[in-house]
Amino acid sequence: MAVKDIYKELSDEELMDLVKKSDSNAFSAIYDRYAKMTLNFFYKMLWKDREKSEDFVQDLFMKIVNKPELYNSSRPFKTWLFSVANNMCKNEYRKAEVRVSAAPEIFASAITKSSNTGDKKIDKDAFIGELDEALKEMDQVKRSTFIMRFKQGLSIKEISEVLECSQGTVKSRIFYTIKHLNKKLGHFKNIACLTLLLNTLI
Amino acid sequence: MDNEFTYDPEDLERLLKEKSFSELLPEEKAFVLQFVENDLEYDSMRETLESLIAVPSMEEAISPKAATKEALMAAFSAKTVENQKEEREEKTGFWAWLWNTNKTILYRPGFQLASLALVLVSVFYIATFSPIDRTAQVIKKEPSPKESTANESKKEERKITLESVTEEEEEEEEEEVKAIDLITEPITLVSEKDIEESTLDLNEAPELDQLEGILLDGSKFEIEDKKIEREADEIEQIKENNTKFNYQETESYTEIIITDVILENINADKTTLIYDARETTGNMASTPLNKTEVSSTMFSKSRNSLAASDVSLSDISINIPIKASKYSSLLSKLYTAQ
Repeated sequence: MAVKDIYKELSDEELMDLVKKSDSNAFSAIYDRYAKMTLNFFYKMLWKDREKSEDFVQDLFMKIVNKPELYNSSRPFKTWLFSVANNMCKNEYRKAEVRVSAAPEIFASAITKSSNTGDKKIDKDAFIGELDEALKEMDQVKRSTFIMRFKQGLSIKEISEVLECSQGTVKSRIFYTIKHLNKKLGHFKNIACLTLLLNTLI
Repeated sequence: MDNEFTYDPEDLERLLKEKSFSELLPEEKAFVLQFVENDLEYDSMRETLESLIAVPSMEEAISPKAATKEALMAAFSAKTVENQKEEREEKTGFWAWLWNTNKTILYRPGFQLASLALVLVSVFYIATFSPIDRTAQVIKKEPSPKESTANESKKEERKITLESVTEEEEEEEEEEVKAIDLITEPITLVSEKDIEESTLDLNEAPELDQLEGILLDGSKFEIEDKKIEREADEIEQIKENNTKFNYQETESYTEIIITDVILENINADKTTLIYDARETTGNMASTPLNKTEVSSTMFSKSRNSLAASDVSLSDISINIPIKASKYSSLLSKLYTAQ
């Protein structure tokens, strides 16, 4: 069995223990495991800004490089990682609020540009576009809850650990988010059927 | 009613995923309808949820650039090298040697060196400490700015008065200058022997504050020109008779003030006056010898004791023996209570 395969079988927590001991293979394994997931999280959270998302991923893993001891092994690594990522997004939202108040027109056009990159010629893309718009209107907590639940596939328990709230609160937030989105996206009645059809064709 | 306790709002997501409205049990329907308006809204939400779950598969997932990983791996390697260097320094550096945590505290060089230093300091302190020597030391105090200002103003007053002397009295002025020079003769330090022989008890000095008030208040005194001649003569006499005093000659200017007065052997006629003269620089002036007898009529009776504050210095000076202190004698003549 190759060395890299051995690392792949280790848990996140075991890998982080090795990272603390300056094991570069362990760090590489952790990066491979979570880089794509966190990149897509940032991508959804940060108005689909690819460059910014790449930078955020780099910053996130640089935290692990510089101070791996920040991670407490008693906590699941995945939830810790998303907690850090979520906090980074929060900070970015705060900065964005300042930027909006300073130059609202420029910032609005930038967001519109980034969000309109999808092709809206078919319902699927239109649905995604409107979903993005609806998510932008939500507050940061509901947005991050929704993205972690439906786009990153985190469990209710993991989300509650990331957001440091009860599982009931997470479930309740999700329900009211669905209810809100239903009002916004209710006219896309056949999108699920369309998706199934597309997946079947592909 | 039990439905409220069986289901929580957060369970709606599970119901939405699993069952359509028609498939719900009656109690589930009752529960669901607390949060949605009707069956149409429920089914609509169900479709929306299905779509939302399907979205990730519809969206294209992006992957991080290879350059990002390369940069991170390079940073990790650099950090590893840095950490290893620090660890090496921690193991081999001076501080690691000084406070070697692998050894017990008694065997650590840092502790041993600190103990040795403490012992050496203690030995040095004990060897050099002598309580007798310390008590014999006379503290030389610099005059305070307030005192200096007061003395300067006194000198100014004296100068002004001297300038007003008429030309006919030029010879007297010369003698006056001699007198001032004599006042500013060098400091006489108190010897250890003098201190031991001293009978002064400064703690019993009566009405010191009042006496100082009289002595330091320059406005109460003025130079009497007529006395200068007599003073000059007396100074000459002092110089002749008091040859055993060997005063140091320096160019420093100083003045004497009487600070303490103690009355002894008080009786109807004579009272022994022991007084302490102090130079403005803080040095005591021939303490054990400042003793004289004066007439008791110079003092006013206050309760059962005599008030030294009522002493007229000009009167006292008449009876002061020459050897007592030529400074205090001269001073008391120069300043006469108004």
